[in-house]
Amino acid sequence: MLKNKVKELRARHSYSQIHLAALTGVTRQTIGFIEKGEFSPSVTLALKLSQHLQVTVDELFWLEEEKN
Amino acid sequence: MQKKDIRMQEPLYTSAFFTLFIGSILGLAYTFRYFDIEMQNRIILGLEKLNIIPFIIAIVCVILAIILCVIYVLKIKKHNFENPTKKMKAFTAFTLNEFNDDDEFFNKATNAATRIGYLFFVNAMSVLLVLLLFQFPHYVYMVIILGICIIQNLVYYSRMKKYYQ
Repeated sequence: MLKNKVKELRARHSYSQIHLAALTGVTRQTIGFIEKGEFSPSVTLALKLSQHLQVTVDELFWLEEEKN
Repeated sequence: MQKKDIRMQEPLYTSAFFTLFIGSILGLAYTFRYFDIEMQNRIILGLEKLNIIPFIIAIVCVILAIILCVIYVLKIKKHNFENPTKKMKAFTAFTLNEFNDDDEFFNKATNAATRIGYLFFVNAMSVLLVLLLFQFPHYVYMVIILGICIIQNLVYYSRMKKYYQ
């Protein structure tokens, strides 16, 4: 399962979802669903997010094993 | 992108239009009685007026459908005014206005919703094929087909609705 800390880093930068969405060229809903972990972004979008949140992609996204 | 995005509401407009279409079909079907007249060994279709209330219902449905079309066209014009780079056409056969390809998330959401709508349609067509074996009046099949279209639009809408929140 893909985990992320987009919400945490967005708050640290005082970005709203709309602002971050505008920076990365996507909709507010996309940011919201990424934060909830319900949508896995493409490599391109992950790179854009990491660039604007000033971290590396693997700091922003990581895989966590699902417990059965 | 607002919750009142016309692309989200499009299936509701389509469903409402088809519902009014069903109303006008049923209204006309119950207004007249059709029968065959045999004249000089030729069969001529006869038409007998029966009820005025179903006729009024049919006319009201047609008028409401026209009003709905006008409202829809005005909504499209408003959308085009507010989104000059993403203009939509009110009536087009080559794409559907409810498809949203604004970004990769909505592209995926549209594909998922379309997939469910397609699965429903395939199964509904199979049922309709069985129903064709029975001798129902023509208007019954028209109503069933329009009913399938309404449900398919509502299935698509219910799926997409959660992505617009």
